[in-house]
Amino acid sequence: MADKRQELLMFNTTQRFVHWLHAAAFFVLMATGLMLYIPWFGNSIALGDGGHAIRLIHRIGAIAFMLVPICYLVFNPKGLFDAMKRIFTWDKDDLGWLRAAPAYYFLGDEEAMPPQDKYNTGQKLFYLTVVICMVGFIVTGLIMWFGKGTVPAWMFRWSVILHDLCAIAYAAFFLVHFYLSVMHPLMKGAINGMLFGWMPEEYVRRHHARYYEELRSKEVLGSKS
Amino acid sequence: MAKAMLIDVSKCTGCRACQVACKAWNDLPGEVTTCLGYYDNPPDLSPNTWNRIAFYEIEREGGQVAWLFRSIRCMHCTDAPCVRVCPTGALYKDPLGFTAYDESKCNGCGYCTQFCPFHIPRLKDATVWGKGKVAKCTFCQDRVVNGLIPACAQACPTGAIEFGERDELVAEGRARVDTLKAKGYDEANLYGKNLLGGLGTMYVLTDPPDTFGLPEAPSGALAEVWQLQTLGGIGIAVGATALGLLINWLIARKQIKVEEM
Amino acid sequence: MNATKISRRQFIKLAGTATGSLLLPSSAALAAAGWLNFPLHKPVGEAPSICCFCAVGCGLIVAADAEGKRVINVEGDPDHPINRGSLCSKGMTLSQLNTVDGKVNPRRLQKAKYRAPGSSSWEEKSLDWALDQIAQRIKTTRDKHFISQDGEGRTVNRLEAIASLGGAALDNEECSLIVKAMRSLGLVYIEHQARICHSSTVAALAESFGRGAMTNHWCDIQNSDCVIIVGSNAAETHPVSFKWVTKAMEQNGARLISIDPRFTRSSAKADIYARMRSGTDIAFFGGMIKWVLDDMAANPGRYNMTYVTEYTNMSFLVNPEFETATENDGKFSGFVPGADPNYGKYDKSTWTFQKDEKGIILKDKSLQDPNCVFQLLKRQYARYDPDTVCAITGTDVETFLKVCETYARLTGPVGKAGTIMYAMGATQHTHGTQNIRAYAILQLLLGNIGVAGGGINALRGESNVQGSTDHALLYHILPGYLSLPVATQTTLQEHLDAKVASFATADPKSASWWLNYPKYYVSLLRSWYGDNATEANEFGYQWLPKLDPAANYSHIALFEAMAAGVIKGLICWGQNPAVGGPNSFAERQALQKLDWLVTVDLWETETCAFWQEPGVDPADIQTEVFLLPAAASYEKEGSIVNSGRWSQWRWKAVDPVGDAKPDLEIINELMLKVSELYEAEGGAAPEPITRLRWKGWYDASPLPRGAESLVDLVSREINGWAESQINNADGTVQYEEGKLLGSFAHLRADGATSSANWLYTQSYNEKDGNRQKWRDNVDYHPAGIGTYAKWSWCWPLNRRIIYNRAAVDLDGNPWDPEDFVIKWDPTLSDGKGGWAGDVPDGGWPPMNMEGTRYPFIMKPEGHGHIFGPGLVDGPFPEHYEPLESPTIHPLSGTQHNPAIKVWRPDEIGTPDEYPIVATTYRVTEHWQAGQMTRNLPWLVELMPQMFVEMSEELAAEIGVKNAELVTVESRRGSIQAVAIVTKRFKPMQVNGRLVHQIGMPWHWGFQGLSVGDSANKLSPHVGDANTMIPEYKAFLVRVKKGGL
Repeated sequence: MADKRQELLMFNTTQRFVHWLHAAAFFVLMATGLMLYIPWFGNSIALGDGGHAIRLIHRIGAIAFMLVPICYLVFNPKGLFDAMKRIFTWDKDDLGWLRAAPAYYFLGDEEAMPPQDKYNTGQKLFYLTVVICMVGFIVTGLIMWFGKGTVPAWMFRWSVILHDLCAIAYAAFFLVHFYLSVMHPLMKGAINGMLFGWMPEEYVRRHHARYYEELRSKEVLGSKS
Repeated sequence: MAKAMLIDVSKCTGCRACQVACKAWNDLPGEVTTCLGYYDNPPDLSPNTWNRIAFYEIEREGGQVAWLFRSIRCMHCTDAPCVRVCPTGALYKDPLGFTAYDESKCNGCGYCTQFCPFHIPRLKDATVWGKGKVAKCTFCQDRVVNGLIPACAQACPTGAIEFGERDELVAEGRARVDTLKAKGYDEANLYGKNLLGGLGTMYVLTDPPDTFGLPEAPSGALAEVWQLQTLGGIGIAVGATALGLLINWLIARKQIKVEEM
Repeated sequence: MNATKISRRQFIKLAGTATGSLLLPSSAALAAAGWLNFPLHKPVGEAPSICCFCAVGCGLIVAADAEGKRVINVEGDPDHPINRGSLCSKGMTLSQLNTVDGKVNPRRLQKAKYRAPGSSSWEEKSLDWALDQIAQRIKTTRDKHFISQDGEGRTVNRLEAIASLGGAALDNEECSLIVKAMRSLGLVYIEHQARICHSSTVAALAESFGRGAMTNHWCDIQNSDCVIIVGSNAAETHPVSFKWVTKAMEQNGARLISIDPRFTRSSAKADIYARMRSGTDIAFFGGMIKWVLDDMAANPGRYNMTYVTEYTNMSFLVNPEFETATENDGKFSGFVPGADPNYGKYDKSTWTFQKDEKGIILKDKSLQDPNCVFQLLKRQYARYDPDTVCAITGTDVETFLKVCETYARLTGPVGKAGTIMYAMGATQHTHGTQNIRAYAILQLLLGNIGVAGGGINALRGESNVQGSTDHALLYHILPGYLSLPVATQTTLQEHLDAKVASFATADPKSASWWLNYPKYYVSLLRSWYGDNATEANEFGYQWLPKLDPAANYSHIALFEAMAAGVIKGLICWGQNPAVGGPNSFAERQALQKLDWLVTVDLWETETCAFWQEPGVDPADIQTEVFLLPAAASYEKEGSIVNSGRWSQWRWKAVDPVGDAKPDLEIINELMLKVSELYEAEGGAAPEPITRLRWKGWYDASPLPRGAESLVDLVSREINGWAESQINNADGTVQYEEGKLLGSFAHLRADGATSSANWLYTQSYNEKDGNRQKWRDNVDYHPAGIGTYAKWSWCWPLNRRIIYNRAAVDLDGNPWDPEDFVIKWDPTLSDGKGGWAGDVPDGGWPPMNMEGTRYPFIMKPEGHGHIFGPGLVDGPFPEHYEPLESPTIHPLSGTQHNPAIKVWRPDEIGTPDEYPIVATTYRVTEHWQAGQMTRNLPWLVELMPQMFVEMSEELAAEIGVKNAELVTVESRRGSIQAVAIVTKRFKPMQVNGRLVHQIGMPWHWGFQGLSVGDSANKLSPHVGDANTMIPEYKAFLVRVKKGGL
């Protein structure tokens, strides 16, 4: 039965699944990572004799983490390539976003904001960071997990440093991502896309105008009825 | 107040009393080994071998054969990279100056094994499901704290391993180097006086450090970088971001009223 | 008697000071800092013991767990003056003898075992059953084969069908009972490790100085000005001795010289390293003697000529008919060839001194008379110039000359001292005795005997081999180096007269202390036979077995007799000849001929399991084997003697594991059973057994003479008692009946005293109690030379440096006033004068005073023997090649020692087939025949496999890389080993040809946690001319790539 609000499919099932898998893995990894990383934190929680259980859980989370790109690739390669293409495409509109961002996010000034793609510049930045850091995490993480004694010591040491740098970047960006998805007044409703896949047409037109045009031109306006 | 050990390789006869004394005091089991074509055994430190004698056969100028022996164990650096890099604080500097560890706090991450410029700490039970605990020379902490001397220092028959106040051992080490030089060991040197803030295990060497597999300039730089990162990175980056977001929220909340869609 | 407890305070104090470390913050300060929350995770240990491995005699403390059952820690005893808390890798492993990973070491024997004839497995039995069976075997064999009278109708009471081997690690009290028991059975085949390790030392030093033991002691090495380590690798085999060598080098600026075919762990610390081919010591030291003699003639001021002329027999005039080897193409005068003209015996009638009408030896103190020893010595070594010597030894001439000059300059002058530390590299040759004679002559020339930091330091290798030798577990002697009589001596008087005659001297200044021989002899018999030894029955003399004067009963001969089926039963006390004996293959084969074998050991050794050796079919072997579990060193109490003659008490820390018992209890119970069988059933010659002071003595309750335990009783017995009241000359009582004697000077030949070993009289006396238990580690010597007179007790009479009357000039003033040993103080003894310092070697006044005696009091003429006529192969050492040699030596036409016996002429390798010189040696981490160390995980970890060391050049020649397997073959057999290719062996230029030498440890066998081939499968069955010590150290092999 028709709903008078039109809705567009932003994220398909696979995309949503890998997002939440990623999110779950991220939480486990970040939490256990912090416990492993910060003495005070780790020692106060210290599961299993000094924290070896925490290490174990971190590794389980890591396996889940590594499954994210694999699942994406296996179940929705088109979606993956599409996303990758978008986040590696940068033009002057992205500069425009940067200039407009302070007024937009602090004062809600939507006029100055140029039309955004499926992923706005900020989201592109975030996604790109995530991808780079994910690669970084996995490579350095695998070295730290299996490489003791097989790789040269300097490689291990740099892996530890880079792994933790990635974590810092990830954590900082995640805070922004979380805030903007859930808490910022302008972004109300943003999360529905990732929860249900379908977003109100109006939202898409307002926040991702370029994408909206793209969808229209491809006549993929669907309706959820 | 700091304690240290001075190991004079010119007095060491390679008898391995110290190697077994360490096993005996710390109740470490013997490993299964094979003859590798030299006297060294086990060939490397391990979770069950915290001190081993390395044998170096060299030929000096003029074809003179020399056979040198060095006891390899934790260097107990003042500025210990392993302590810096230990995420749980299991590794710590004892007030008496040596690098000790509290096994119950070790989470088995193994960072210490890779950040040590001398490649000393080992991880025992480091399997996937294993607990993973650091294992290395403890300076016989329980003996030292109770007024005894480390097992290796006591066992050494020739007094090659001496234990005592660090500055007095430094003075003695220097005197030994002078004596050796007078005897013709032109390259005799005291290793560890200033490295990494001063090593707790110093050597009087008859030959340059690399003859004995010792790094000329061991560095704990990356450990410092990492530690800075821990203290600074998380704090600053994440804290600043959170702060920024909080400010944004406070402002945006007031400024932006969005109609319901 | 409880173990002496060390107070914690004492421990801490010494732990701090003794190792040169500095004071730690006090407990109070630490507590104030909140830091004393770290208890020791286990106790350090309190029961004192002595290490059971080498003969340095390091002190240990042993900690047991709360139940007192398992040993949880062993470490060095910080109170001990020799090791001061340190140990070597073996000593540190001692807890594993008893406990590994919290449980009894699974390889320890805990039950008696029996192997039936033809069986391929052991059966477990009770110890009691086993002892019953063994007693019966002994009786059966003895009754069947006992020889009451020999072919000439003389009473010999000899049993050749049973042999006893071992044990150098047994306590003194155990050795004492074993020799008493075995002699009472009539055994002549009694041997142990000393035969095959230091027997040549005893002969050489007894000939040179009068006593066959290390002249100085371990701590004394610190006083040396130059140390030579030759035929030894002291840093390897006696690691704690190196504490004292290091001290000498540090505090005295002493130099260290290492002479060895291989660059060893000792060479690594040496100032000068001289490479010398195995078996060429006499060439080397003969060359040194020549160098010194030439230098002495040119620069007599650089030497102590008074010492040489007054204290040695250098000035004695020798029979003008005597010819040195220089005049006689390598032989001395009087050689009588045998069936093989290369070998024979010497008629020593020209090896005598010229005497005046009173019988006093003629001397020329100017040393010019062509027949004086000095001139003979010069003639003897005239051929030993540096180039000739180095062509034989493979040393480079420059280094050789440096050694000569360094040693002579640093130790020759008055007041300077040098010591020679040696061991098997010197002793185990067909000319082993003469090797050591060469060292002795050099030391006498340089005035190094009797002084602090000097001496001949024979490094003995087992914890109590000194004691086991003193207690005479050797075929030809009785306790205290008395002689077992030969068959021709049919009465006690004949024997005593013969011995006294051999020590006779006409010189009133010669003490010739052995003239007291009858007192010691009778006291021994009185000890053994108690009240059954009376003047009427010659104190039981007839019950002693008598030797066949033409026969040899030493180790090699023993195994040859076993192979020939003469020996039916063997008892083996902690000895492993299947690995340790030369020509192991032949010895293992010989074991197969036994009817029965008893081994008493901690482990299942190669010897007791010879019937299980790989390649052997047990079904072919009918020998019954009894394996009895023995207690480890700290599982029992008793005394042992280190190389420095210190007899030290060991306390018990824990009970023996399982059914194991101390050897003392085993021999006691065995003899009680044998005695009971003879009393009940009679049999061949029961009296030597039933009249022994044994039954009713060791099993009496309470024990006699106030003894608190069996070991306490035996210890007292060794010291000796007044068996009846003894009065002084003035009629006052010297000793009441049953009192312990205070000195061997109080022993008597009339049966009033008893002593199971006169050397030990004083060790346990009425005034002081058991002095072996003394633990006062203060150096009371006024010059601080480290004699530790109140730590344990040493023989003789607690004299720490023997021959010390040679350490003073003719007025009694020490040659070295700073490090004096003794010095004459005229103010002592109410102005009569006396000696300060160490116990003087004879309390007589100095040489220039009335009533004096010469310093070498055990020699008939009181002088050190440079000319040594008492040996069978020459009064001077002459270089001969080992029986298997790669070269013809150029010094004479006599290639080999002509006085040796060649047992198996078909088993001699020649250089065309076996071009490489081989030697055997030891590693720090293992010990002797390996059963005590190859069953301990910590030591097996250090040295897991049998290896052979060879030069890089040889390895390249045969295409072998480091760590590959190789096969080494000699005429006797083949073994495989891992190759260690090293720079420390180098080929040598010998008489113009390049000769390779290899070496290998001999510790391995087919039993134990670590197994491997036994190097002694390669060594020959040939021994020294004087003592039959086997030539383990130089033989020929070939080496091939690849394993067997």
